[in-house]
Amino acid sequence: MDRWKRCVAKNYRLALATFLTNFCRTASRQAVSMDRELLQHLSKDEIRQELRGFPSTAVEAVLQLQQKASTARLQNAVLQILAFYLPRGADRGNLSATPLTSRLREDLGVDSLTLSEAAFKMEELFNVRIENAELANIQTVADLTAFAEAKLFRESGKPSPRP
Amino acid sequence: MKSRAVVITGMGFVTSLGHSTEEVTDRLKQGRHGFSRVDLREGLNLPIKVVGPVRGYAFPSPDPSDWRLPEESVLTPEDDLASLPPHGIYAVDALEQALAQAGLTKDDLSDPVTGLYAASGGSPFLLRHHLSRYEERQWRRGHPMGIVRSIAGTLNFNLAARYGIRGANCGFVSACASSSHALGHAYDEIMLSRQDRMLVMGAEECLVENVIPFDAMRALTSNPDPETACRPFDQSRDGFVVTGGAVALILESASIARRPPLARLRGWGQASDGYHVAGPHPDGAGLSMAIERALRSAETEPREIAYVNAHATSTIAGDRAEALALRQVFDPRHASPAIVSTKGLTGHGLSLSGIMEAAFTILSLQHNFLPGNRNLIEPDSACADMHFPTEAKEQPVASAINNSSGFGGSNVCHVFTQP
Repeated sequence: MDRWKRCVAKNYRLALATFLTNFCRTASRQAVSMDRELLQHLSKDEIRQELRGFPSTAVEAVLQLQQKASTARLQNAVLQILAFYLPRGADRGNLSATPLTSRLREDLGVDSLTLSEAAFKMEELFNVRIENAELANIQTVADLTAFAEAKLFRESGKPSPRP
Repeated sequence: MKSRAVVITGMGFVTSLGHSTEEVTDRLKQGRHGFSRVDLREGLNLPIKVVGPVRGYAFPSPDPSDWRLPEESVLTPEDDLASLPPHGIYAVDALEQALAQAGLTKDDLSDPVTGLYAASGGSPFLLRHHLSRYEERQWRRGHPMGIVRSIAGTLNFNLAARYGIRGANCGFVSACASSSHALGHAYDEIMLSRQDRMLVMGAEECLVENVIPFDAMRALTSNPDPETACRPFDQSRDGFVVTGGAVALILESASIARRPPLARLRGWGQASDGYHVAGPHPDGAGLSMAIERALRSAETEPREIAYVNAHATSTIAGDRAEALALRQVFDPRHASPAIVSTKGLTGHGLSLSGIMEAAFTILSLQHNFLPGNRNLIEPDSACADMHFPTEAKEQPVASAINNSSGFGGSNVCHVFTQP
């Protein structure tokens, strides 16, 4: 926890700036993406099944995303999924409160296998294929959410590879 | 090479006989078996009805959030279990017991002179799950942990990472001799001064995926009665009973041991049959050579051995071959050591069996008792004139050997003495 506090304190100004930037960006994108739908290929029970073992907040975040897709909801769901795979001892419940500039590897302890696990879960949930090169470009929390937004609103739910 | 002594300073058990040294010792002394009737796959009425289950643990699906662990486990389903197969859970619990007995903590293990050797058959349960999911997705998408949590080697991958091992780290694959090889080679690491301390593990699951395939080989008994299904060396034996679990031993150079040694591993030997992919040489040729080599390595005469923990699994060919091998080494015209297969109480732990029975042998040395051959009513004719006690009894044991044999005719023998 101390790590988070230090990180937040140190990067307070940067975080605030990033937050404001993202807030504006999110707000503008939300307007564009309001009509998008996500996760329509799964029933609620299938989502719950896919997220067995996840905390209820994560399941709820994904169900809300299915109910009505928005950038904010997508970001929340993706961060909740990533949080589940963070090393034990990290503050897994509070990932959505970390600055978007946080670096996955250095600040959050996300190693490549952890990221692969989160990516696999997203592939299963959203029925997309995430390439290695796409993962390699994800360095920060902001990169991850931006990637998810670009990728999922574009490709999610298309047929195959799930039979 | 003989300047060092290798001692055992810690043991841990997660077995069909119990989950602590005390419980296992009591069950061996009382001759109380660990078998139960189980339904390996509900609704299928499978021909194999009896196993030696590991009580308190349940793995109803490959998803760790469905797993149930007993209260005494050091792990909980909320822990990060994504990389651990079911037998890895058993192994962590067994290893924690052994470390505690040896007076070691995790912090003591990350020096370059502490190594870890392990043996398991991997997890066919998880391997099947991950591969079939992969196939369902036309081989385009799979779980990132699928490999490390299921292939043979998963035990050493997981334990070395979890315990920060920086010395030797390796897995051994010789089927039912695997953990005996691990133990023998761990002894060598210390004797060669490459390592001062070795953690040695064997573990197996007891699930339909790793039980039933032995039925295809006609190696399992279909006797549905837990009381009589397993009967090593008996004329009426008709196959083995599978068990699972994990056993850990801590081997240390005597000079660094923190706690009083439980026994000394005096030497070991191995030899192969060069005969058949699965079955034993009919005369036990490889096994008798392994025993002779072990005795030579330990500078011990056959007449000094008071107790043989036999590999005998309750198969017709295997038990007979072992009796003949023992007859060759321990001439029945002289005094025969007490020959006991503790598989009559536990069942056959496959990769686990070698180290499990090494640990049982150490318990006999430590607590001065011999276990008995359960269900041995009419010994096979190959056993004639040799000593196969049927009841456990109190008796000092100065020296003992532990035999193991695996597919491919691979045979291992360890010699244990008082420390």
